[in-house]
Amino acid sequence: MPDSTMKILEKLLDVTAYRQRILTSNIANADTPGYRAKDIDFQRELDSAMKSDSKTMSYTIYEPMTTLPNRDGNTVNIEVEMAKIAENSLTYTAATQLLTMKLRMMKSAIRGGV
Amino acid sequence: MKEMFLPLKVSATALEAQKIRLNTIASNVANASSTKTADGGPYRRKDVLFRSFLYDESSVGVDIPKIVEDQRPGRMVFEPSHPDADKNGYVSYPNVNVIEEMVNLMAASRAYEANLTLISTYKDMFTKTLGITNV
Repeated sequence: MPDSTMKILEKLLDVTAYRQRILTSNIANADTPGYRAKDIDFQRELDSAMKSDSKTMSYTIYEPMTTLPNRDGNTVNIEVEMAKIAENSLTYTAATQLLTMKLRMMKSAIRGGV
Repeated sequence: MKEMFLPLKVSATALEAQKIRLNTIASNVANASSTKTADGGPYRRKDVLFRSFLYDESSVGVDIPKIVEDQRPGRMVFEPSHPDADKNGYVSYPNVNVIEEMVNLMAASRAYEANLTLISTYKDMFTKTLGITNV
């Protein structure tokens, strides 16, 4: 019976790692004139990642209007971005811990519970 | 593997850009009363230009292509005894407004902090990934 836990966790790590890169770029460019904040639709990307079997993933980046553009056309709202980063890194941490637990369980099974 | 450390690179470019901005602000405040420069004339307030550049579609760094001089006029103060006074007795002081510089200083140092926080967030994430092998 195929176990989907590992696959879900792997894709979850992929998507959150990718999202972290985008959110990092947003903070880095919080003062760049004309820069528009970027993000991915987390739920949709995870769904499509689960459906595809390819190792290389492609993501759809969109530009959320988190705030009105300021005078120089920048749409980065630092509070919104920091909240997203906290959410994203917690999700990533959760996935790594679940993966560790899963591997511990497998190890335990291999050793016959000893 | 190559893209694994991209977030750290992106944050590092932002840290450097904000540091240059801090240096510029420091120069402006230091020269708030410099009535003469090597080029002649009073000091002119300097400002940085931020520009983003792509590492790839997800990672966008930031750099400073050039530092521009503020073209606003300086303030004229009547000081006939000053060596740099013009024939009417007015001295042209730099167009630096110290309060404005302080506001920019706070913005720059907060932006610097935000990017430092991101570096440590990513470092934590990476350490957690390495922890998967400790089963």
